[in-house]
Amino acid sequence: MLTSLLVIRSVNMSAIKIENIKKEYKLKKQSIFALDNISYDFEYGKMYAIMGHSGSGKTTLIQCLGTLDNVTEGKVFIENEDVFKMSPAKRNTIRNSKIGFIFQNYYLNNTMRAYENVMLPMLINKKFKKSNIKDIAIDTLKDLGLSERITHYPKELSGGEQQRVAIARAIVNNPKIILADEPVANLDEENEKFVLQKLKEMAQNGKCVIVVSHNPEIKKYADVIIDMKRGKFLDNEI
Amino acid sequence: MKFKYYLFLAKKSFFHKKINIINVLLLAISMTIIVFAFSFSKTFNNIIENQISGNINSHILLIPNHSSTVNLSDVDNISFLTDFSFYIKYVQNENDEDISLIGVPSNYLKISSGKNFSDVTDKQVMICPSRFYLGSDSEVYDEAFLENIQDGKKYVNKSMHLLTQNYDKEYKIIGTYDVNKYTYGEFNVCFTRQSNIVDISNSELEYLKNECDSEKQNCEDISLSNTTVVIVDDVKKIDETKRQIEQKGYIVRYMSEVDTNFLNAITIVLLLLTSIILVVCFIIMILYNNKKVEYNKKNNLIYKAMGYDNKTLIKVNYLEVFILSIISELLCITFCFVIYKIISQNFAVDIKTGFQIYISYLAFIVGFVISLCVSILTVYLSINNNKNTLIEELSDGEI
Repeated sequence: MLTSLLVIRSVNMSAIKIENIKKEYKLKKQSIFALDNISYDFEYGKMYAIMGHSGSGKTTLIQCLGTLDNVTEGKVFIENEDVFKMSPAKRNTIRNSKIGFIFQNYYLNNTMRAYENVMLPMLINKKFKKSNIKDIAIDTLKDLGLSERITHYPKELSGGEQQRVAIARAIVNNPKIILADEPVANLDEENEKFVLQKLKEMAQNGKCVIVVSHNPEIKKYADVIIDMKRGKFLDNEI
Repeated sequence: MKFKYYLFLAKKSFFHKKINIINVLLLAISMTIIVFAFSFSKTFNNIIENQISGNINSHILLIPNHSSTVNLSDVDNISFLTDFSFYIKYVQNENDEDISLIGVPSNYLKISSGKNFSDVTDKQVMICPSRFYLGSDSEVYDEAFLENIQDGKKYVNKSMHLLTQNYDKEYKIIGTYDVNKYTYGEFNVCFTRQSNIVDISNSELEYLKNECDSEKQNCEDISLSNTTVVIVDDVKKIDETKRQIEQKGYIVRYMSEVDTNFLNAITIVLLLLTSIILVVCFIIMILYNNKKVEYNKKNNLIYKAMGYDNKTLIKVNYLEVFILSIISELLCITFCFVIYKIISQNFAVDIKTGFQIYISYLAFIVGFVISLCVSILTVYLSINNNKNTLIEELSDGEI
């Protein structure tokens, strides 16, 4: 029972915590708040769907959560560490080892084969210094049903296959946090279901999965749905 | 990160982008232009060097109406004096081939092979050019002329009869001088002891007097020239030497007037031209680098999203530009070699003037270093100064 309690506690630990964050963009005559005083606690073991119309601040939010952009005000904690007080080197390490990004447009390197794209995050991770990273990359692709596409270039892959490669790249370092920005926007129904199911599985395996999307299909998979409008969270649903 | 991973990323970035084909060509062409600009300057400077410093006529001042007994012992920069009659003679060998004979002191000439005058005791000896033209018409400048050029070394230790009016003696060729370094505006200029020229002059004078007598004409005007030839050491100081001689009350003329102002102007123009070409190539390299870095921007931002830091990205990009510079340099060397071969075939070495096209090897290094420095600086500034966020930069799916 004690072990179960410990498991439950670690599963429900705060992965990312945001406190009163604001992101201001200054234009010539006015300022725009892409994020307007948001506070939230994202936990491990859950899949979060952040939904809203274009311009609601979803993408800005996910950038700030992933330390790709600074906030104007407020704090962002990853596993209780204030990320914007860290050195750039430490932030890089966190992005590499604790966060996996999945983008709408995949952003694969067209000059590299599928397995080489997946290898990229491992090249700078000291954990894999003595490992055969090529084999690990190939195994990860096989787990995602891409055994026949390991040596193909992105241009030789369908949209769904490219997104699977992108997912493989995002999870190969075994990060605890997955941030996905419109991961299924360019996919057909079958691949959409596959990707969303995979993200769900990652959450069930203890990761904190945050997905930004305007696709209502995601509601079937998410544990928590957050609506955004004009830089603010509206309400939560479980 | 291990070096092999840096190399992996750099090679992938370099070899799989079509834009790099254009970049390599652009860079190679810029480097080739730099090499030719430098080479052109070097060639021209060598022409000046050969035509002026290497040309004995540029070293000569004439003092008309005075014999070589003029006292110039306190004048600086004088190599030797002689009467004009005892300076140069035009003779033929036994095959009717023209040879110009100049009389000089023992160790005046620097030889390129064989012996100098001081190394032998024979009187009738000469030092001849490293390339001889032994044709009947030395003014004809055609294919046959070029075929008749002989290697001067073949004539060392060989003899030939030198003939002029009333004179026929066998001379032995004891050495050669480098015809690229010493030019005289004429072919087959050989040097001999001054005493031989005196002998030839006196023979000619005797011949003329005999001819005159036999035709019962007025022979009083027949005499040797009464002009002193002053040969200076350093052609750059010839003006000062002339001034010193004039201060003694003599009228002095140049044997070969060299317009140093014109030459200085040409040198300055060439220098300016080379500098402009360097600056233009520099700008082309900066523009190409900026374009390349723009192309790499998205790539770099995706890598940053994966946790790559600026330092790592800079190193990868440095390696990429190093690969690019090496390939461009090799291409530049190939271009230069081909162009040089084409030019050389059309402008064969001018035996008369010693003209030769020179390649500036230093320029290859300069071009490579400039290309590398510009590329490295642009990469460094671009990566460190890129404040855009990932989402701002990425507008489509390709990297």
